[in-house]
Amino acid sequence: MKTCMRKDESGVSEAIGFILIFTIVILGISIVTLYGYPVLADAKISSDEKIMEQNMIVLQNDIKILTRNNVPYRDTTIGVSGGSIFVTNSTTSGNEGGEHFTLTYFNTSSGAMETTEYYPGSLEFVSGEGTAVVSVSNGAVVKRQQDQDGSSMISNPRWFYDETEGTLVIFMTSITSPQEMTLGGIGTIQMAMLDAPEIHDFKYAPGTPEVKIEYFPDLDDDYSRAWENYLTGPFIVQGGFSMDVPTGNPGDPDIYRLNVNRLVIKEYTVEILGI
Amino acid sequence: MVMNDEGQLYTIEGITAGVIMLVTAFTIFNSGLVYTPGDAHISDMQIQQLGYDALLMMDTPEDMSPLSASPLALMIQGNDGSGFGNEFSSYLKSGTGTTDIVDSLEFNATVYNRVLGNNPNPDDDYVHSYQFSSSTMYEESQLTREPAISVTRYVWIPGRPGGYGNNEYDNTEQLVLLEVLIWRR
Amino acid sequence: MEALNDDGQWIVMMGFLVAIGMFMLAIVISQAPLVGQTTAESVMEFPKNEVQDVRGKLISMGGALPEIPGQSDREVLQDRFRGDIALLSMSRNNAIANYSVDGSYWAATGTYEDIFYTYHQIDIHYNNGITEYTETLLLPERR
Repeated sequence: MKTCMRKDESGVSEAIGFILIFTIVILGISIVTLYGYPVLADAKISSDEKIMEQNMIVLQNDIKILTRNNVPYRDTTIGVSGGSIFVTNSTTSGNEGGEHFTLTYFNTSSGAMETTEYYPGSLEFVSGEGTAVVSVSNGAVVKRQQDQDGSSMISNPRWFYDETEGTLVIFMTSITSPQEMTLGGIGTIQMAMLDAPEIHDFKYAPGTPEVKIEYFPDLDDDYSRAWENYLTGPFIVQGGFSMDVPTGNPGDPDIYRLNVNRLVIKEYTVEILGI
Repeated sequence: MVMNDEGQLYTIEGITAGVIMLVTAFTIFNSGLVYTPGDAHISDMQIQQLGYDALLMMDTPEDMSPLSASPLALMIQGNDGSGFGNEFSSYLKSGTGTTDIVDSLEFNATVYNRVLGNNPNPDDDYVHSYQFSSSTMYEESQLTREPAISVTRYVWIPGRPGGYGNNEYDNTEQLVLLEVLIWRR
Repeated sequence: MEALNDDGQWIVMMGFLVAIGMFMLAIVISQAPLVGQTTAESVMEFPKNEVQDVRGKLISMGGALPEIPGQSDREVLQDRFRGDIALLSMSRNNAIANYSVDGSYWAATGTYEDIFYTYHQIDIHYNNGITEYTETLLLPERR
């Protein structure tokens, strides 16, 4: 028997073979692009948001070094991806009735109850592709999702209560800027604290009314859940602040109370010089 | 005309490799880099420790009995800002002592003391402060707004500190707080 | 028809490998854990030097602080230093700092003694919100 194999390849075109293979490859690539790319993009958005959370903690830390270590200047270089950082001036926020806190406490030198308003302002990252909003405000880093209720605190402000002496120490940090500022991409955020903090220090006799903290949310930028969890949780004092039952009306404040022997309020003003 | 198709595959592979490299570059530059890398604050930490140690050395009394004044206390009481400046600078520079680039630490020292209020109510006490001493390049290096760190030390002094407006304040034994800002020029 | 010239395929493959390697590295870099707070910052925040400072001051001043019955100047001195530390720590270091000698302020205790020494109990309390430090130390005084 004789196998008859023709060695003649004159009818075989390398070009056609190549085109076939090439088509298969291109098809494969298209399928991966079509189905794989959205997954990749999602992963990128969520990793951007995670990175920005950490970036905001870096900013918070620098603000902390400024304020708590009494240092005049600090700067941080960060890369902002997938969104922009906006500076909200505390005075602007005050004029527009934005997010603010009020503290009601007994002033021992005037002998009367006193209420002070604090508009903290913020450095806020708004994701352009995703839905996350991360904000450095009043010494804390808070996060929420656009068009959704609820918020969470990523990094606590350093308020504290000393059990031994019954002292509550509250830091109120407000952010100011000479003009409106936005940062997308890589930039250096320059910060300054040139004025010494204002300190209020009251020692209370037993029976003094409790300290009352009210949180007024900005309805479009609401972090009340984050602050509720922080204040009523075990972060400042064992058992947390007691919270009044919310009225349920939008715009009404959440009210927190705590009995203390001594109250110290330190007011810092951090100026954003440029980004 | 016969087309020369040698190396077509190489071309395609080259293009593919190019695309992969572009994607790589895209991924690198699009990922949000934290430009405060993990070691950014290490030099701050070292400067802080150096400052604390320098103050500790200057605040060690030469006499063992309790409540004896240290060289630092005598400087503060005598308002000897230049003496402090010289000694503190020499401690900051000791060990390097080479070039201007290495010895570029600047400082500004402030003394804080408690002043008793008019009546015994402790709420009336307040803090008085004055600039005690600064490095020679202080004015020039303020302009660049360098990030600084601060170190503090309590100093026991036998009488009122000697700074600005001192005669208004208590002339008793007291603790004052010396706060020094240190930054790299 | 000519055959494909496949000399140098190794070079091409190495090129591929390098490209893939770079891609992997890029993924690793972009996924690297990014930490907002560095170790050095945590070290700086830890109030080691402040606590050592207050503690060292109390030990060096300690012999002059305990009250002697019938002598009020030591009590005055104690109050003076306590007030200085409390006010200056709060205003500059954001910390609650306090001490008591022989339980005179907030810890109800007294002195101890043996044949040679009287021991004065010094309680130190320091809290800056991150670190709370409480120490009781006994300072001997020759009888």
